Amino acid sequence: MLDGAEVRCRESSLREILGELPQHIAEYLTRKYARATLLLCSNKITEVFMLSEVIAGVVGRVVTQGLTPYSAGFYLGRLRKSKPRFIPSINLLQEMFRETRELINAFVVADEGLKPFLYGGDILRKSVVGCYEPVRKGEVVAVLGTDKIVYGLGLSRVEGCEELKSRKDLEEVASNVFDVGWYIRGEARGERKYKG
Amino acid sequence: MSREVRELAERYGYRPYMVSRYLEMLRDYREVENMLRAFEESLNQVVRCNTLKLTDCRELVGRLERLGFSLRSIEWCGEAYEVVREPEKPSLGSTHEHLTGLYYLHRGKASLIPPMILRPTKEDLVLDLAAAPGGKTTHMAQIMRNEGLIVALEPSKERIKILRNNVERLGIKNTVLLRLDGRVSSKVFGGFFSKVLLDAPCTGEGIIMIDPSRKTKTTLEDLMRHHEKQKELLRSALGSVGSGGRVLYTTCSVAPEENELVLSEVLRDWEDVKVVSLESPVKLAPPVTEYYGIRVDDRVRFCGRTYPHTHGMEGFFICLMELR
Repeated sequence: MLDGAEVRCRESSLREILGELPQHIAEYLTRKYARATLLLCSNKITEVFMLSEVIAGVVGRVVTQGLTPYSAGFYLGRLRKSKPRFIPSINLLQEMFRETRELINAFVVADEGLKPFLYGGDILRKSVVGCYEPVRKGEVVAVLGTDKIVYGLGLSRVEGCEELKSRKDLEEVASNVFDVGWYIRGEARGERKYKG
Repeated sequence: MSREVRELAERYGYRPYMVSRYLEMLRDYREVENMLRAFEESLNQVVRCNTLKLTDCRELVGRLERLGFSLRSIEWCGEAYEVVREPEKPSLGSTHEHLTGLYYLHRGKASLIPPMILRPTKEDLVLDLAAAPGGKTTHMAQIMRNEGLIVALEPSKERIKILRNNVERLGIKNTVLLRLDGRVSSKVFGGFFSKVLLDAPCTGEGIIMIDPSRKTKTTLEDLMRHHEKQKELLRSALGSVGSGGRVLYTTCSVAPEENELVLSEVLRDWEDVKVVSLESPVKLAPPVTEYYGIRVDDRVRFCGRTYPHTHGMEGFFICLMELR
């Protein structure tokens, strides 16, 4: 959750944030959750949650009493003021890949590359055994294992899968944005500095 | 304090007042020693397969077995397994399967029981009054198939982060997490909820096998502080359900001061609360009905306990109440 400065939450709708999302995520959410209620909680960054009807009712009740939910419903990701504008949650990506049965905007990484990644390390070219477009330099890319489970998110250092192929084995092709090891390492989830 | 109590306390490394209470509670010297001996035994950790992410738990078993773990099914909880052998590496907390939320790691079997007794459904409005780190919250979400509502409260800034991490790691979508002291829930929500789980913060006198420091850590004053807080939490829990609503009170302590006596004192002011017979997946031991000459409220006889020496698990107390 957002630490530090005061957090403000308000209800919203998918339409309000669609322009901030990568196209494939916007399309998926529109298809599946067009009428959902969203909750946007902001200080320096904005966290986006999707609420069921019953959860929206409780959140409304809580907010009117001057309380701020720490999290609510389905955490979709966070909006940023600069590029990358949206960092999706692991659960959103996993659900989207499972339901569409299609990998998109993703690197599939071999086990030996996953190990350092799960301790906060970056992704080297030699670890990537699959690449799925669109992959844009400076934008977020999903990091999956060969078991097709989402292990985290990277910030792509390459513009497309063709460029990835041209890189040398030990070149970094994605820097670690978030990995599932964070759940256990318990690091704070404040805004991170992006080198790219 | 008798010589035999002092000897037992010294032999097993306890504060003598604790052993003295155990003797009053169990009324049998040999049984007290059996319990203290059982607290010296280590417990198998328990893996609860996350059925929100896996449709077939055999997939998880296969993956963990390939890593060198041996699992044994827990017959009364279909999705849970005792870990009977572990490889040197990786640890159960660092496997990819754990990090990606394919399972929740419990320190013992007993903590599986309370959500199974409360049995929330997707129609329920559930309150988890002291939720972190989230074992029972996530178990209830799993029982509810990620539908309905669980409001999970946790006052600690650090512990609510752990709670959120576990909720997200397991892919749970039906919770609202609030950084709030459970003692104010009835003021905030009134009788909004249909089911409340109160896993009250306690001395941990039932998990000494996991944390042996608890043999000496708790003074009598600490124990009474817990007792007072537990009463406040229980009052708040009862004030958070409407008519027909249910409250499950549980602790990981064998101390009557944290269990039967809490119930007994609080229920005195709640004539319209009945204690419900427990439909438990394991046969529970009866509660303590008399303690240092105090007869506990008659309704408490329907509550239940687990003991390490008779159940082979942590010492838990469980009680299910219903508001008329």
